[in-house]
Amino acid sequence: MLCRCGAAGRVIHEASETARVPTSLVLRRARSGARPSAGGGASASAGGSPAVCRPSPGVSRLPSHLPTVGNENILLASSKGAAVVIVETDARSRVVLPGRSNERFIVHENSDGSLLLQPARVITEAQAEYDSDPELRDLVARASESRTVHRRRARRPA
Amino acid sequence: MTEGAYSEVADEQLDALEQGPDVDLYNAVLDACELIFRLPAQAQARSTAITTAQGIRLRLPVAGHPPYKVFWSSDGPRIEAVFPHH
Repeated sequence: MLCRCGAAGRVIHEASETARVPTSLVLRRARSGARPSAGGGASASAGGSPAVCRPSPGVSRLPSHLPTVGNENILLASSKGAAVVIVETDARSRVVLPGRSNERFIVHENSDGSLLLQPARVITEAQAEYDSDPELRDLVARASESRTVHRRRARRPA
Repeated sequence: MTEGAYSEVADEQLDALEQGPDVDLYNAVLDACELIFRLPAQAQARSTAITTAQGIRLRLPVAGHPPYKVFWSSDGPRIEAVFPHH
């Protein structure tokens, strides 16, 4: 697959084909005119929103509603040789990750310029403390399992 | 006067606080319990929710006495535990 778009872009390699299990992604920089291993054509059109190249039928699993590529660089690639996807950032640094709607990742920039996207969840400090403190979990569990006491308590005089 | 439902664990912790040297701390904990019993919606708005194996528990800071917190459940409501927690 060769994109008609120009300069540098980022290539997505999917770490796994398992759709329901969160997997890490690696975005590798692609040079101008780079050719991913799995070929396919891509159409191009100008546009200001995040764009994705659309490979030839049968080459990738891209949803049909995705926009065709913008006026610059992009290649879509997959790790297992089947679907190669090219994506590009737009003027506001945004990018479309096909099939990854409403997911959250930690982005780590590797020394070679590639980006590692690791699936992540955001939790509160309180929840993180609870999850990581066995003593606290044990206390809360014991409290929850203990019987209920109805009491009237009075303030102490200062 | 504060009246309501406590777990046995919380009840023992409150007894210990009542007999302890810090009168102000004990009274502040009772104020937090009073808010939970009388105005649970307001207490919930000031609490952090924690998902536990036993269900959702709420953590309300004891005013003026960090890091003391009251752990409570909305069923009842019931005070589950009271202790220092960052």
